[in-house]
Amino acid sequence: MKKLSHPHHLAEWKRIILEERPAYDKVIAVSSGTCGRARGSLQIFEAFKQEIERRRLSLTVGIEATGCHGLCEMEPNIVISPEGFFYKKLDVKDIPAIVERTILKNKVIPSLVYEDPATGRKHPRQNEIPFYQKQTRLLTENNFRINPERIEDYIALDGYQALAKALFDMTSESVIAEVKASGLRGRGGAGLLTGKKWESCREARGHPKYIICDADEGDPGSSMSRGLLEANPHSLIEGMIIGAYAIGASEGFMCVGTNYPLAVEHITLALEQARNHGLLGSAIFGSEFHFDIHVVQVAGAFVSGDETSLIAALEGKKAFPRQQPPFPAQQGLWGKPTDIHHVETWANLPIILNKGADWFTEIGTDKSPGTKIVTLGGRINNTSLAEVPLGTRLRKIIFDIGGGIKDKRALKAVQTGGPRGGFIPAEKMDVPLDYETLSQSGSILGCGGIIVMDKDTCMVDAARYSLSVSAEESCGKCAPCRVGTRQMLEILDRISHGQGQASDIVRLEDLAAVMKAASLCDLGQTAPNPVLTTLRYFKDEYDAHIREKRCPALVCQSLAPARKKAKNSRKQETGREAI
Amino acid sequence: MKVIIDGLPFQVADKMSILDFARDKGITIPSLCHYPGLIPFSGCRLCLVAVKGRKALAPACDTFLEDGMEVTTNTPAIHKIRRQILELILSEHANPSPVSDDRKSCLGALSETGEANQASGYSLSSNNGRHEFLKILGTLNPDQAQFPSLEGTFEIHKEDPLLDRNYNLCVLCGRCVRICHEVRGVSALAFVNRSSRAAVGTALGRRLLDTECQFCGACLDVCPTGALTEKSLKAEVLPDTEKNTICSFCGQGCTLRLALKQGKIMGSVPAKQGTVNQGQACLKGRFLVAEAVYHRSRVSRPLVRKNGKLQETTWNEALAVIAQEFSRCQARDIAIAGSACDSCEDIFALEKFGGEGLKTENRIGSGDFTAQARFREFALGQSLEPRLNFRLSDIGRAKTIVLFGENLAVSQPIVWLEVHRAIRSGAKLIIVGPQELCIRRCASSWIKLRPGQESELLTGLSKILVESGHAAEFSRFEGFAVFKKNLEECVLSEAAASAGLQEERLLKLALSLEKRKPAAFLFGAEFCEGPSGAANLAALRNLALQTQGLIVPLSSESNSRGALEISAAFGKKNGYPGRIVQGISSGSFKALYFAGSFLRLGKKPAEFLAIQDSYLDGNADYADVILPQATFAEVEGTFVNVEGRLQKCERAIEPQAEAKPGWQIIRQLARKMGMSGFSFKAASDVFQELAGRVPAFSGLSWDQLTRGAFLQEPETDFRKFTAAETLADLEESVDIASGPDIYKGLNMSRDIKDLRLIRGR
Repeated sequence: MKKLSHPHHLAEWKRIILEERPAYDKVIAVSSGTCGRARGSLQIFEAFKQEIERRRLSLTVGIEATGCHGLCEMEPNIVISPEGFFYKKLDVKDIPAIVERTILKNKVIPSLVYEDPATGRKHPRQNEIPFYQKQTRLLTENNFRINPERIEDYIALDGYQALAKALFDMTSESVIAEVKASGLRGRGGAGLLTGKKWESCREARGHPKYIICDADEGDPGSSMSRGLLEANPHSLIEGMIIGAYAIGASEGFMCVGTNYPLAVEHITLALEQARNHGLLGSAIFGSEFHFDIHVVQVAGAFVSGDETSLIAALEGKKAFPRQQPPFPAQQGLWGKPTDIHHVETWANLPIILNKGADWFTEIGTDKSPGTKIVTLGGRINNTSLAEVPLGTRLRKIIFDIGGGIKDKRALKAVQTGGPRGGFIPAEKMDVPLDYETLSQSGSILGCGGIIVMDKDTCMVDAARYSLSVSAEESCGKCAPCRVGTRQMLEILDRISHGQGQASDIVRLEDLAAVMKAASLCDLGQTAPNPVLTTLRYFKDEYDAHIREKRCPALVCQSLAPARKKAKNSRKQETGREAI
Repeated sequence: MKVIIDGLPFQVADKMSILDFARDKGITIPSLCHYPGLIPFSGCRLCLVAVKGRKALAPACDTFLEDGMEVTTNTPAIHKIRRQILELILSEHANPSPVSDDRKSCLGALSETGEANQASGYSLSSNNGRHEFLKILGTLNPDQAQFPSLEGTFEIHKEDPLLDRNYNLCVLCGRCVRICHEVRGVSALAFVNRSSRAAVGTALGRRLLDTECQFCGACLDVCPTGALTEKSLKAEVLPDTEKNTICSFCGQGCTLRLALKQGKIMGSVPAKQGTVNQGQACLKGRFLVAEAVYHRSRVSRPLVRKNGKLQETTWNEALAVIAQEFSRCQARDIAIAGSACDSCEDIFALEKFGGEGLKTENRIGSGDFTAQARFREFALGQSLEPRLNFRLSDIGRAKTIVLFGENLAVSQPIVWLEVHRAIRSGAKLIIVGPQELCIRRCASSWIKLRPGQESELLTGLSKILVESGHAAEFSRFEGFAVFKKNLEECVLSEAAASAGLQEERLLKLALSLEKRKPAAFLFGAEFCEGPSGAANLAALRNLALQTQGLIVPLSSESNSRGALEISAAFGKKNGYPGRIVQGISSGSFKALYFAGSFLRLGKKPAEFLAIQDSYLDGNADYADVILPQATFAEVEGTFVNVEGRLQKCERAIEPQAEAKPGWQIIRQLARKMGMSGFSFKAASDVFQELAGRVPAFSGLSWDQLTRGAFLQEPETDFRKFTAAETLADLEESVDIASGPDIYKGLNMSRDIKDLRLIRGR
């Protein structure tokens, strides 16, 4: 199929794709995101290929390298369709056996089957694994069905139908109305209503208008954006085109960090394919609507999570945020009205238009409909990328999906929203994952990073580590953030070295108050969260460090008794090695 | 609109930030990063105020007043936050830790500059020690012991000429970065790194000499701390007096504020209220005034050649020698060469001395060879009233700026600021000329044609405009028919080729000119010299008529325009000035009087040569008498800048040794020769007579010159196209010593080390 000059061509194309698709008996999907590749998934892929060719099975067995399936802990892993067999932590030498027994004889190899760490039960099929079973995978469900390098796979799964619907059955206003009715909120952290942002951008005076997809992930140990970018690039491209149509934008920018080369590769290829098929560029679907997207590699700065900072980076300036208002919807890129959304927000839009706002609002909570992709890391069994409805209780995420705490230790706290999020103590695991409740608990939803800590974690040290990230990533523009984070870090350093003073607690609280009230952007305003929540929920640990010169978790080395030192010499697992 | 600030109602007329408005009304809001004329930065966060209805505090510098807005600028809570922010800033500032006794507190270090600079590099900033940071410390009264010191450990940059940078004292207000980028258009400085390593710096940490830095010193003047310091002021104490002067290093006429200590110049800063420069200057005005005034090549006493050697003598004897020599010659054997660096009074006295005293027609001046002089000559030849006045702000308002060959950033830095302002508000800059200029990166096109082919390009553009029908409204102007007919001879492809362009590109250029009106055309002497000069000017004028273009001939000396008007008032000279120059170099005159030394001599030019100058240069080898002349800082007088603006320069210091203002020297000489009409006692007397005799100065009075005034010119311009066949050849170019860095006999880029380093890059 060459250029689609009419929406009817889409259905036609889908039909052809399905017809021409080889009738495989089995399809092996090798999870090959960056995380999988790091664990050797491409070697697994090659080994399968050779084995299949060697046994002359090429006509009956298909093999695909897909994006990440989510269960990073078990990489490299595969899913064998149609049965849905899930094999974990594969080695090249396992391949002949898999082909021999599972592919040809439909028999399960028990040693490669996932075992639930909580119950010890083995689950050979993917859909039986609690990790997958308990999720609501709207955005990620197709990850193992799509070869991200082929637009046909996306089309076969009804891709670009939402766009066709928007362009030919809806006006810009009705698209905005639908998105407003869906209650979709920005997944980048601020949680503003997407439809409202669109509306104000549409109404803003200025021409041309721009669209930006913030695909520059800064939180250490999180990979929500990467998961989508690598696995299903067309879903967000479609979302962006729908957004552009709604707003009246003519150009879009996909800002991807230079640390995501695979994402850049897949996105660039996807854009090229979309352009070649008349889904992007001039006269989309033969309509009068023109819109194109450029990939811009930005040198990933944490502060670029702020919209104005990302815009500055795009303009080729230092990534400093600026005071808002005026909001980017009024004065954004090069002073023109600009709509910025996170990768995940864009990926939601085709689903909303396809299934309707009513269907969408059934998922999640009243105030926060839909799902959220979260990254589970830290002392959790299933280090992973999972998708849950907003409002899901932390307990369910940690224990049911995450498989509980490593080594069956007791949970101590959970940090949500990356290094600027607060620590929620174990007794508050009934807190639902949504914007408001987390914020009341002193944390943030952020982009959805969740770091789990067990009883061996020192909360002073955990706060200190989070602060060190914020201090290191502070852009330096405004004094409260630049110096505030440094001073906080100094104090925490002192406390963890047994040199804390009683007055330090007040000083930390004072600093936090100034930073929250006076910092220019969100980074400085939320950076004190880890300190404030640890002070709120784990005050006794501070007291132990300051008054008794003792670290209850035996982590702070200068306070640890000599015999414990060796045991605890390993670094705290606070997201640094999460994924 | 109506707003309420601190409970009081106010009326606001324009869009204004809370900070600007509050300061206007005398309400104090502290701020470190805000600076008038720069885009609000909201980085220091000291100006946070409460705006009713907003959840968070808003920075007053970057929050604009809206109708009905209610603002509270100060409450105990806000004050506390500001104080805490300042305490944080202080903890990072290289302020001494309160625990150690061996160093002074920040306050102490800032006020006791003399002592402190030895220890930490603190010294005078442009505000002569009155740092803004210090003032803010005073108002917010922070507790410096609140936070432990996080003092930076940045290396102190002492590797550049003229200024040092110590970023340990920097508070990251970003004023230097922003003024360099937004106002000066240079962007040599930027923020580098982040977090605790965040600092101001250059690309790749290079020294400023290896960047685009023009050493204008604007960064220094806006720095609220002592992070940037002027090298020459390192060990200085505070000045006792400050006096304004008009800089004579080029033709722009910046007002400089001289810092004086016991009658000597310590340094200079551009005056914030300067009519022309408004707080900006170039490196010469900013850093080199004292160096030039006290330069080792200054002539301090009259010199007379005895036994082949120049020897110091008295004024009386020196003048007597000149009087004697001149009296022996006939008027036609004497030639006089004036300097356009001198004040109007000096030039007037010299013209009067030569024209009415000696009655010689052989009078030339360096002002006779400028673009302004050529344009005037051209216009007069076309029976047009030459209009030379313009305002810098006219350039700032232009939508297209066409620049012929001049490196404005060096030769006319203040004009360049206006061009840059225009570019920032969307104007296109087109550079025409073979040389690659440093300002090229701000230009939208660079047309690399050979000098002398400008007229073909310009005529080509005219042809496109006329043929595209845009010229309808101009068809009423005189000479249009002939002009249109002449255009038939122009072949577009040839015109484009001569400029090294594709025809399509020429077409686009013409359409852009048509779309982006008004245009401004800036050019220097080169554009109108040589065989093509007249044709260039004619083609330019014809194009300017169609694009509502402003024609800006530039001149580089401090009083070129004044010299032009005054010498014109004394009547047409004997032939072209170029012939007099030739006469001088071929030895046709017996006695010469040089005020300044724009003519470079290679041999003794006449039997007798007297020079009146401030500096000794190569010409001194052939001089029989040298009279020491005062520099601009030492005289009271008037100067006409490139715009045609007459400004009065006050005397800042006493003349060095026995130097005298030019008009006094001429008065003495004239009296010595028994001439009458030289009885003026003060510069104001000379000016009074001048104003009565030179038409352009009529109606101007000495006492009313404090804010400056424009020279008189006819209001309307003749709307007349110029036909090529009516052109008279303009004069051949003459080899004279002129250039942006020449002041009197001082070639600053050769004789001043720092400037030599900078220009020699």
